[in-house]
Amino acid sequence: MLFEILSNTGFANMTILNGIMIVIGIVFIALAVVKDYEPLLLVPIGFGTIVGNIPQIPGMPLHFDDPGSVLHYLYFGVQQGVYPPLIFLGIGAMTDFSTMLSNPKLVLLGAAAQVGVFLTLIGAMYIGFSPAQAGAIGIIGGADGPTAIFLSSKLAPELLSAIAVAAYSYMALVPVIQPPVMKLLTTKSERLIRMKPPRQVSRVERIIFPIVGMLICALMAPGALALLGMLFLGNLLKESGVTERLAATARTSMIDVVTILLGFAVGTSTKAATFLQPASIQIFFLGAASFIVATAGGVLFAKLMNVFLKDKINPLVGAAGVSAVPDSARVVQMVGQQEDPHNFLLMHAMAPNVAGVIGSAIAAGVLWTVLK
Amino acid sequence: MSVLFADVGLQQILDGDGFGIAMTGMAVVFVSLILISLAIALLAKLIDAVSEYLPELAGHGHGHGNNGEPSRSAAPAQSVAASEDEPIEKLVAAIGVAMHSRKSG
Repeated sequence: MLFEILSNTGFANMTILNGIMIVIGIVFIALAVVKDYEPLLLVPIGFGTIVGNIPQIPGMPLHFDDPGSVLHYLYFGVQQGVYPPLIFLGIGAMTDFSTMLSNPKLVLLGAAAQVGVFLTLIGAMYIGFSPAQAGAIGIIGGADGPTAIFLSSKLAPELLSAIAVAAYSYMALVPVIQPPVMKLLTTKSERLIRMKPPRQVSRVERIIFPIVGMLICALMAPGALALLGMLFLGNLLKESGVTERLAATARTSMIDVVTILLGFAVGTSTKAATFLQPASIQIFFLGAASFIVATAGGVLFAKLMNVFLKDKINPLVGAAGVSAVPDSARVVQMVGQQEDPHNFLLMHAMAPNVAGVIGSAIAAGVLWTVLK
Repeated sequence: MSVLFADVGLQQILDGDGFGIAMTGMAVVFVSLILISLAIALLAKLIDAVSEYLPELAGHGHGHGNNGEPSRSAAPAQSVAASEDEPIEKLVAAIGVAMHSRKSG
């Protein structure tokens, strides 16, 4: 009896690979706590990684891939793409589109940065991933965790954990990855450009925009309906002025609950046997490349726009088109202020930043439609 | 999962129509965001043109921070309170004057 109990403990079934994954989970938690890297996600993902790598006990449904286990039901929201649209609802209820509405040409920078998604798709296919897997990997360049999880769950569930961890890791590393690319592609005089202050946006515009925006996006890329439908619904709740209670719930309690469930469920899916594979290393390299290309795409497109524009854009603002709200906008502000401490680019960078959220969701919708 | 660099080559991209997917995807993203950009530009002009016909919007107590526009909630609430309080104050003042003149008279 005692022998049976001992043989069914985690210690008896522990492997080196489980141990490595548990250490990785602890590293995630340490990065969140010590370095403040995406703590809201890395803590649940890190803890989920530890939980998911407690060895399997024969005959007991414990893990996310054991039908009937609690973790299996929690993972259902990831597997079926339920959690990401709920997170988008909260993001919509937090987002102020005013800066984008005040300067609509900056929206194009959010489109240009999506070049990272599609060039990474080609790169992933080049090194041997199937088109569906390549599409799921490419969306890391959209710099939007929920979008990456949503598309991976649809196109390549077997890569979901690696893609999710890569996406959130690089989002946390935006302040490290983006500045060298931004400085490399711009001159000092370009970084010193001051942009005209944005105009005031009326409340009517802010109320009508989520409806118009949703119609355009959903008709152009129906695959993005769940994500962008919820994003614009959240924004309408915020801007309508008559549903403040719902907006407050969506942007606080609800998004927090879903973030915990999403992070933890993704963490539990990082089982050593599936995560510690050569493909995961490839995904991490491709993810880094996609972030770099996306940043470069935004900056270079801003420079191209300047050829035609009378009121010049500071090309640094293009880097915010990668989404990663609001970190990439903050990076633009930081790099801009290194050249001119009195140049405030944050509000300008928020326009391509929120356009990037829309752009990456549309890219995901297109990829899902084409590669399903 | 695939083995590290097992099937490297351009043929993979050609077989999967990678270039076509990438170009189509970028085109759809650009067209969508260009449409949004145009819609935003037109929306502002359209609202300016019809602003005098638009109904007064109801507000329920929350402001909008970034553009410096005053919160609709606070201002109407105060003005409503003020406009409601004003007649009461006048009435109280009138009663006070009447009582004072009656006592002194």
